[in-house]
Amino acid sequence: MKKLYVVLDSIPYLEKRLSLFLKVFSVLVLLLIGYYWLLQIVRHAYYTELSEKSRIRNIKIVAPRGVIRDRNGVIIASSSPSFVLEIVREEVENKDLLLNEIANILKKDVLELKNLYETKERVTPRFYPIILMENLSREEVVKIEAYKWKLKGAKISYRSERSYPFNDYCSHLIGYVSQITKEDIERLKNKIYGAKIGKTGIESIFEDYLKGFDGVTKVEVDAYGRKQKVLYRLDPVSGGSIKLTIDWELQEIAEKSLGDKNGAVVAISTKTGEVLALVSHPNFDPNLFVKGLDKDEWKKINNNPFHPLQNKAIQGAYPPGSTFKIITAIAGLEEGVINEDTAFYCYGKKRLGNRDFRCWKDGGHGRVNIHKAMVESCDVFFYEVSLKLGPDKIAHYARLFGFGEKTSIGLPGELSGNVPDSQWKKKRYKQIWYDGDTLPYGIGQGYLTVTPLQLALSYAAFANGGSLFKPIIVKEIETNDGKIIKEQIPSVRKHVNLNPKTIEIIRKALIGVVNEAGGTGYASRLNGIIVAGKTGTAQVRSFKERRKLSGFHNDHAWFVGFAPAYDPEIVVCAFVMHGGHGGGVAAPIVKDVIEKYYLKKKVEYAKASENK
Amino acid sequence: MLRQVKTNKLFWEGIFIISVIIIIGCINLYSALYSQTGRIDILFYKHLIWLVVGIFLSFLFQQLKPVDIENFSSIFYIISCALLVVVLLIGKKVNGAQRWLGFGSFSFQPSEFAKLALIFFMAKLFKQMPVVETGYRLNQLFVPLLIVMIPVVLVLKQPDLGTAIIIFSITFFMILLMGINKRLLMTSITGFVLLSPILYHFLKDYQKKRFLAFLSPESDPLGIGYHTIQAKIAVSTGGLMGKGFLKGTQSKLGYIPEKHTDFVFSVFSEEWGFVGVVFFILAYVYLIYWMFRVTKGINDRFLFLSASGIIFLFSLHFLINLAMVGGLFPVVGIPLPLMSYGGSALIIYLIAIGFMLKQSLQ
Repeated sequence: MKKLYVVLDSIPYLEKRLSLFLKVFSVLVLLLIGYYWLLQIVRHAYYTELSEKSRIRNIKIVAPRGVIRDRNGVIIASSSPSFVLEIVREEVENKDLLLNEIANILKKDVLELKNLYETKERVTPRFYPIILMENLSREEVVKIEAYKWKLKGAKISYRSERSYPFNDYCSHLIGYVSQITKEDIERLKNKIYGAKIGKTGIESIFEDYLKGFDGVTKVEVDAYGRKQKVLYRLDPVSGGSIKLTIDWELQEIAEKSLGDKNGAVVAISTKTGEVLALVSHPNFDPNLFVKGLDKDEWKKINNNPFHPLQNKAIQGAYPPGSTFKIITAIAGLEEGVINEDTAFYCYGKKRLGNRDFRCWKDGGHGRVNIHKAMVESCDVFFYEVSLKLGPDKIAHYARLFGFGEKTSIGLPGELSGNVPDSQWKKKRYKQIWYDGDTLPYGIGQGYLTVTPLQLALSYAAFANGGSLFKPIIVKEIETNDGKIIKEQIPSVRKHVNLNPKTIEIIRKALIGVVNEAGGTGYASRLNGIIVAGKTGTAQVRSFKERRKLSGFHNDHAWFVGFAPAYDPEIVVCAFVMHGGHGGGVAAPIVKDVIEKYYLKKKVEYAKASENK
Repeated sequence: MLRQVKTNKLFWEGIFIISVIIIIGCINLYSALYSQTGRIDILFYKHLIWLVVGIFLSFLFQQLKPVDIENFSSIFYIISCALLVVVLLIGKKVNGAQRWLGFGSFSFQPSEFAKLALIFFMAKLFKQMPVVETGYRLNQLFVPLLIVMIPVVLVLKQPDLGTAIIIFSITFFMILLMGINKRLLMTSITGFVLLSPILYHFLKDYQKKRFLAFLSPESDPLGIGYHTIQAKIAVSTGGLMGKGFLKGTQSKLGYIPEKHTDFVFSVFSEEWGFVGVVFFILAYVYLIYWMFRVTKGINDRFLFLSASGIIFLFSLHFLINLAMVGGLFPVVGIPLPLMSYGGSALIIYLIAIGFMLKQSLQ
């Protein structure tokens, strides 16, 4: 056994050991001071940034969106305060109870409201209020306010919201504003969830001008996300306003005149290329997109076989039918294959090889010259002219008038249409061009397709003596600081040099179409103003389409008219899908718009003379 | 005569440094409990009441002769163990832990009492044991280990890992002070390290989480790592000079849990900055050094060991708490003596301080 040393005087021994402990303690204290120095001095900036992030919250104040007006100042897209019902999650004590109460007060379905809440909750970031309902009516606001004591966590607040006072009118051109999607955020980068952005039309193209600058409130929040105090506030700056070239009175009359028929109406100033009206039916109510479409509303739009979202004036290309005869005629006259007096005999059809090419008039027109052929829209005459010209010459003149290329109107999804020639057919179908292809070409059928806007512009070019304009839709932009930017000034894309004699012959013929008894456009004549124009009835040739849309296999109806016949100011093109005869269906629409145009002019003139 | 003046000087030095720390504690607690509405929290008044009660009980305790303390220490120990049993039977459950005995609106934490009782009982035990130059062997340590394990197990049952560690450490410290066989020390340290995975297995889920959160708080910043990160942010944003009295933001906005108890030092660091922290640490070190000087003048082994235990109690709380607030130590419920809110702890520390003050007069 080892010997135990019993130290009698233990205190000095313990003292020695205690001071050892104190030395260890001192070292640890020094390390601790060093660590606090590291934390408070060296890492200070890093942790300060971290704390700002968790302590200060930025709350966006959405800038009121700039308004869109017509050329006379009529507001067609406005920003108005809208009441919304917000749920501040941090303040809600019992979610189910609260939703029950809200459903009770507003007489809504509880389950639906709960679904809505869950959907919205998923897209709302943490610490942001859930916007449960938008566009509350006055009564709803009053009810909520009255039962406020029962609804802890629910709050009425208001914000600027886009609204379209004329609902579905002009919806394709204006476009709409709606909730930003995930794809938009990836594309635009500087946007956040919950924002609403312009999706199509003017709203989308001029998003940067219209949106303004959002304001921000920097709020200090506690660990539960509750607001403590406002540290900083930057007021939003509202967006700039846009003045369109659209004349709302013309737009309205065109919308009404087209009515529930499907198709498009385009009215253009022949002297500037300004678009005065642009209608496409079926249309849609952009207000629905602002609010957010529910399933049924979306289904209704999506399942409509006539595609309400498609702007038929620029995003649809159709065979122009007889309205194209003006090009064939011009080509014939300019190329010298016919003259004013050249005449052909119409038996009601033309035989080519073993095929009959029919004229619309079964009995035939008899002996026709160019004037009569235009006025009565004789097909056989133009079959003959086409044969003499050949496809490449027709294509050449069609291109001169802007067919086959985009008009550069600046709206998304514009189609260029198709101007076929022998080269094109070889490439497309690996076949040579037959005369059988040429005959329908001359009367605007076959492979040829045009957009209503292209057609309107080509007539405008003819009417003003050969200037093919770039179409303009925006007259001016006024920025939020009052500066006016002229967005688009009239510009001529190209000038077509035509023999004055040619112009005269065609003009007389177009006047005849409207004003002579037996003219196919007789339905669009006006008292006091001479209207000139051309009808078109384009066969819907696709059998597949016919089968699919049984009952909708009528021909497309066209009419393009301008007035006054001499020194014209306005050209209007009406296109009615499966409408039937151009003269009967489309011509009255053009008449209505031109009539309105001159009625307005008269009123303005009277006002101007009164003021003198 | 000269000696009398000297010891008196030591006494007044003690009074001075303790007053400084208590005043800092009150000012800081006022800020920690300050709300932006400007209403003074009831807990602040409670703290002042506990302070008065503590000083009174401290005077009462000083009336006991050293011999009486030595004689009573076993009774203190038995009472504290009994209270620990009682608290497990009828204690108040707060946040899942059963640590308090309620008396109306006041509650008492027996585990705090156990800390001091154990110090005195261990001191008595080791006074009766011979000092062995080669250090104690395991068979000689059997009794002290058995004595400490009773309160340790009871406290672990609450569960309160932090206090259990403190209680065990007190005994371990005493053993180190008396001397332990080097081979035994090495074996036990190696054993502890090897067994730690198994010990970890015995931890409660929340304790495991805290431990993992300590190792990497950023892995779950909104969950369990939240305390650690938010306390670090509060301390760090204090910078060199601090944000100023009542101007702390992290703690005022509710980012710091337990801001008036275990994490009270984060409020202090945020508002007084590195300068304040250094001042506070120096003040505390001065307190410890003063206790050391008092202890050096003691001739009785029981009193010497008791005083050493008290030094250790203060130093350990101080080190662990500051390390915990700074994110250097896992979150265990260890308060900062004389700074954290908590009646039982405050009374126990005031009694301990009173004991030291009395020794400074001897």
